[in-house]
Amino acid sequence: MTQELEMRFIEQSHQLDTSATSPLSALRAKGLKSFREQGFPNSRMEEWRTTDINPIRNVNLSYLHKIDSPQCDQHALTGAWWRAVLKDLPTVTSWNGHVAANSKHPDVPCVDMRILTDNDHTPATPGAVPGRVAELDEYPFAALNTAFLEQAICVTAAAVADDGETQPALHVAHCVSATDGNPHVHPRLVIHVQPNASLRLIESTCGVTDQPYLVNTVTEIVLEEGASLEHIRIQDDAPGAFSFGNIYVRQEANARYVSFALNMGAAIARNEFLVDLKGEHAECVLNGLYTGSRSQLLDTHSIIRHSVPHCTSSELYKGIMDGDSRGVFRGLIHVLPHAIKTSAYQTSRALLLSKTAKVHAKPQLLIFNDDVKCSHGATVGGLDLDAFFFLQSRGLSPSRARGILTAAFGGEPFRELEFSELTSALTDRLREQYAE
Amino acid sequence: MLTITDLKASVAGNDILKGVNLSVNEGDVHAIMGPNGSGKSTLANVLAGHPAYTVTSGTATYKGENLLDKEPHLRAREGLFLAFQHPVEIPGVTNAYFLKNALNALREHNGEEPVDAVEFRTILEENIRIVGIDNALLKRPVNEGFSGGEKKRNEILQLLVLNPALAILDETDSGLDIDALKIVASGVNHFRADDRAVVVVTHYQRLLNYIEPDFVHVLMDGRIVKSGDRMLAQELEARGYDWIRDELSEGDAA
Ligand SMILES: Nc1ncnc2c1ncn2[C@@H]1O[C@H](COP(=O)(O)OP(=O)(O)OP(=O)(O)O)[C@@H](O)[C@H]1O
Ligand SMILES: [Mg+2]
Repeated sequence: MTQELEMRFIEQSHQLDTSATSPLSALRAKGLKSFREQGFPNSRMEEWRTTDINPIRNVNLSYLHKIDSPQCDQHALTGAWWRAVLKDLPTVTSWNGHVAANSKHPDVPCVDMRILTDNDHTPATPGAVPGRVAELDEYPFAALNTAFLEQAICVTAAAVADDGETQPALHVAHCVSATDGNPHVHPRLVIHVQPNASLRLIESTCGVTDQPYLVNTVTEIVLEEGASLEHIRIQDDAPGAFSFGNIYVRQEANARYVSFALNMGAAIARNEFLVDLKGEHAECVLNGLYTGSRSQLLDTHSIIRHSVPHCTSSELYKGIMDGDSRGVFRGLIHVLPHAIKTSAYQTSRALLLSKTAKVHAKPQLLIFNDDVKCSHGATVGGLDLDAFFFLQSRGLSPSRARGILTAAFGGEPFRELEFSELTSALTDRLREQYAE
Repeated sequence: MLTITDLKASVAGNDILKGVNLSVNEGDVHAIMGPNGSGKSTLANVLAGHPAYTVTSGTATYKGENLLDKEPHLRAREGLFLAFQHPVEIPGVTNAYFLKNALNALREHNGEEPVDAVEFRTILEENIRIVGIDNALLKRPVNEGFSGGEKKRNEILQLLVLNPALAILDETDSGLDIDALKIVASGVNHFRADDRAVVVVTHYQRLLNYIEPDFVHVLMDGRIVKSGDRMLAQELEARGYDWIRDELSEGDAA
């Protein structure tokens, strides 16, 4: 199934250095093969039925080689509210998919960061290499990312020496800037959290351009026994962007993965989570908020696989949709026959602020044993009019009341976040934004 | 302070208020009693400006101005307060945050500076003591998971913090234990002053032992059909409403 756009991508991938014999080039070949077989998804495919990506075909996307990629400095980034919260964190920035060779790596205790390339492919730990957990079949965008895998940001977090030390934190920012043309970029991030180690990771995508572009990230996460990761994703791409995030997580025994995803920008955006609970007593929390306006399409897909006993997963996604925007939430909880004593909860709630906004929510449970506690629920509705009136009856203006109620709704998935500065900045932001 | 003339209102297409007349002066405490479904809450909600209720005719003036034209938040800012029969839960908005915002909205309206943290704390602590609720309720979302009595006490807390000119209390005594009843009554008495007025809707004369009303009215089938002093409440407690119905039908027959 190769159409014009697929052909163009395949040609561009061929232009990468094929003579290299590095692990990355082997992966690229694999990614290209998989992408060639799959092509871009279409709405006849079950998982893409409500997500039409055809607008991508109307943009002349081109690959920016490392060398052509403009080097912007941090100042080019706009003063988005969330940047103010993250500004003091150790940060590594990729521009158009590449971290500059000469850029200084942040110095974070217990964290080793390497940029793997064709020329330099020595990982910090054997676990911190790309290709370990990403699945390419059924994930055409991950295959495409792999076909363009020239560089991978690989992070290893080691356990702290004593209990007094604070949890290390790292911000990985993927920025796209297009002086002319429409770049497609494919950042790869690999996170390896060693036994009993913990890390807070913030991953953001944004664009300093008015032009449409495609940003297509793959994040591979391996959490060893007793490891813990707080993973915050902020998608604040430019209004015309196509933004795809493919997140693969593998958790060993007692590992804890907590994800908070905030989807705000782009014209079409989709996050796909695939979480594999491989060790007993692993715990996974997938929470998120999407806020749409205009004709944005914001999609979240997740699969949580319970393959062993005694694991817990919980998922809370909320959407605030205005204008003609569309939200999609599809979550599959897959409990395998051996995974007894599984607890899995999933909730999807959407607030529609206009008559033309829509949300498609589809929870799915696939459970192959009887000894589980699972539940799911989905609601879609408008503002609670009694609450809205109540606040006004106490003197709050209608706009302030609307802002407060909307922020309270949208802030819920982030309430458990230990990074409370971000939660309160988000709530403030929502309160203002929806007070019109 | 408040003058209601021949007020008619409907909800969901049903006529509920069928010509209410009531005049409330500064310093007054009025009690409104009446059978279930007679329109007491409808009257209260119409005065507060609830959008589900439609005024079909009649007038209500408050402090000399047309009340019914005003948006609900402006009515509140000008001193009208309704303690709800069924207080609504607001997940995700803490009680303290809500109260502070409400207080600042009133202050801004009156051209005053917003409260600072210390001042707000003082106001809260003073009033929490009066209504006897746990400090922890301030950090919880408004009314979420509150017991019935806690919700009612929370309404009184709002009354005391926001300090309006006209308080309408819709069955604030329902669902309260004896102690709570006294606490709510003492909250109301604390609030009572020469330049303020109170309208209490209640089913029980018991509350009126603690809050002594100047006037008692009976609202039946969308009209105030009888008014009197606090002796009327005792009579209603003893005899129910049938004798009033009988009186009315005799009146109609004559
Ligand atoms: N939102 C609504 N939709 C439809 N009917 C309503 C609504 N609100 C009130 N009503 C009806 O209006 C009538 C009067 O209700 P109201 O709540 O004013 O009575 P009340 O006198 O306060 O009764 P109670 O003593 O039980 O509180 C009732 O028949 C009620 O069912
Ligand atoms: Mg009532």
